[in-house]
Amino acid sequence: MVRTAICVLFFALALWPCAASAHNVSKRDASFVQSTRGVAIGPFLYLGAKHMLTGYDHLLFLVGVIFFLYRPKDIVQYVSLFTLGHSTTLLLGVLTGVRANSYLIDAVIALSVVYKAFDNMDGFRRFLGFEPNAKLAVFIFGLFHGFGLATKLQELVLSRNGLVINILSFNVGVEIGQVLALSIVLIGLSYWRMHKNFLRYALATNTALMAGGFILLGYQITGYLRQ
Amino acid sequence: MSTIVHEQGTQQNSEASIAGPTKQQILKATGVAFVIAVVILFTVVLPAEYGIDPLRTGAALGLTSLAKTVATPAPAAVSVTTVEHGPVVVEPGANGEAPIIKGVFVAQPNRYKIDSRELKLGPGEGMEIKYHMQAGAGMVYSWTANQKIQYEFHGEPDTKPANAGPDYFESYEKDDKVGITQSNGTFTAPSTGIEGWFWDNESGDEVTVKLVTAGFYDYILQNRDDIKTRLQPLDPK
Repeated sequence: MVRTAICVLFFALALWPCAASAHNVSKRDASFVQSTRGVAIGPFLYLGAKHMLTGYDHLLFLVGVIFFLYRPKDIVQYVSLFTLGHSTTLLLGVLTGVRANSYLIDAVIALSVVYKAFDNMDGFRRFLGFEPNAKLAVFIFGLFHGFGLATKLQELVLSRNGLVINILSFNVGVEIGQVLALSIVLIGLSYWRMHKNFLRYALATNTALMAGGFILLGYQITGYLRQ
Repeated sequence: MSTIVHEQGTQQNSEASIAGPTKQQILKATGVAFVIAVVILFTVVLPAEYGIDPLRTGAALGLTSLAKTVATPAPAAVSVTTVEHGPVVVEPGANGEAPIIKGVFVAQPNRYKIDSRELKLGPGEGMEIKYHMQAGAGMVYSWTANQKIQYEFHGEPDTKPANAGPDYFESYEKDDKVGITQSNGTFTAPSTGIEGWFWDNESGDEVTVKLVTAGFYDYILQNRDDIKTRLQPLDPK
C-alpha cells in the first residue's frame, strides 16, 4: 500500500513541470492567445491540457514509449525524462525567442514516433547489434517536442505582460493533460496486456504505430515544401 | 499484491518475446508500415489537408473541399465597409462665384463629443480606452506619454466576421517593441464598433498617458484589469 502511494506521489511530482507537444493551437484559441494581455492563468492551463489531449503525434509517441514498460518505476522514469526535455525547451524557446520552422520540427517529432516503433520491434539490436540508450533518446525527443510548441506559441504574438506566468500556466496545463492522456493509454494497454495475444500482436501494433509516424512525417514534409 | 506478481510474470514473457522478431520480420514490418503510410497519405491525408490529389481519391471521397475551407482562413479580407465619403468633385462656379468642391466632409446629425483623461500605468500594467463609433464617423486624437510606451491602435467591430471568435479585433497601428511617446491624427471608423488604444507599460516605471479626443462617438469603454467600464464622454461647450 505504502509503496503504491509513494509511486503515485512520485509520479505526480515528476510529471508536474512538463511541457506540451507540438501541434496547432487551434485558430480560435490562437485569437485568444493573441488578444490576451496580462496574466490569464485559467485559460492558459486549459489550453495546455487541451493541447496535450488533442495532440496525436504526442500521444502516439507516448504509446510507443510505454508500450513495453510494465513497472510503475520505469514509467515514471521515462515520462520524467520526457517531461524534463519538454519543459526545458518550451520555456527556454519562448523566453529567449528562439524558434525554428514548425513543419521541420513537427517532422522530427513524427520521426520520433517511427524511431520508437522501430526500437520496440527490437530493430536497433537486430541491425546495429546494440540498442541506443532508450532513456537518452526519450530525453532528446522530449527536447524536440517542447521546442516545437515553443515555436508554435511564438508564431502568435504573445504579450510580454504576464508572459512568464502564462507560459508556466500553459506548462502546468500540459502536465495535467499528460497525466490524463497517460492514464487513458495505460488503462487501455493494461487491459490489452491481460489478453494472451498481446505479445503475438506486439509487432503488428508497432507496425501500425510506425505507419502513423510515417503519415505524420509525410504530412509535415509536404507542408514544408508547399510553404 | 496479486497485480505485482502478475506484472512480473508478463515482464518475463515480454523479455522472452523481445528476442522474437527476426531481421526479416522487422524489415517486413517496416516496409509494410511505410507502404500503408504512403497509401493513406496520398489517398486521404494530402487531399484533405492540402488539396493535393494525384490519384483523384480525394475528389471521389469529397475530401478536397475540406482542404479548400481549411486553406482559406476566414478572417482575411473580411468586413469590407464602404465609408460614405464620395469622390472629391470640383465644379467650376457659375458667374464668377467660388468653385464648389463636393465629398470633402461627412455630415452628422448630432454634435460631437469630447474626452480628456490622464492614465497612470504601473510597471507591467496594460489598459485600454476605446470609443464606440458608427462606420464612417470621425475622431481627432492626441496622446502623449512621459516616456516610451508600447501600444496598439485597434478596433473591434460590433459585427464580427463569420468564424471569428469573440476576441476578434483589427489592428490599425502598433509598436510592441520600443514604444512611442506621442500619437496624433484624424481617424475614420472603418466599421461600427469600438475603436481605440491598448497601452502596455513594459517598463519598470510608472508611465502617465494624457489622451484627448473629439469625435462622433457615443460612449467610452475602459478596460483595466479585465474590468470593462462604460464611461460617458462630455459635450463641448
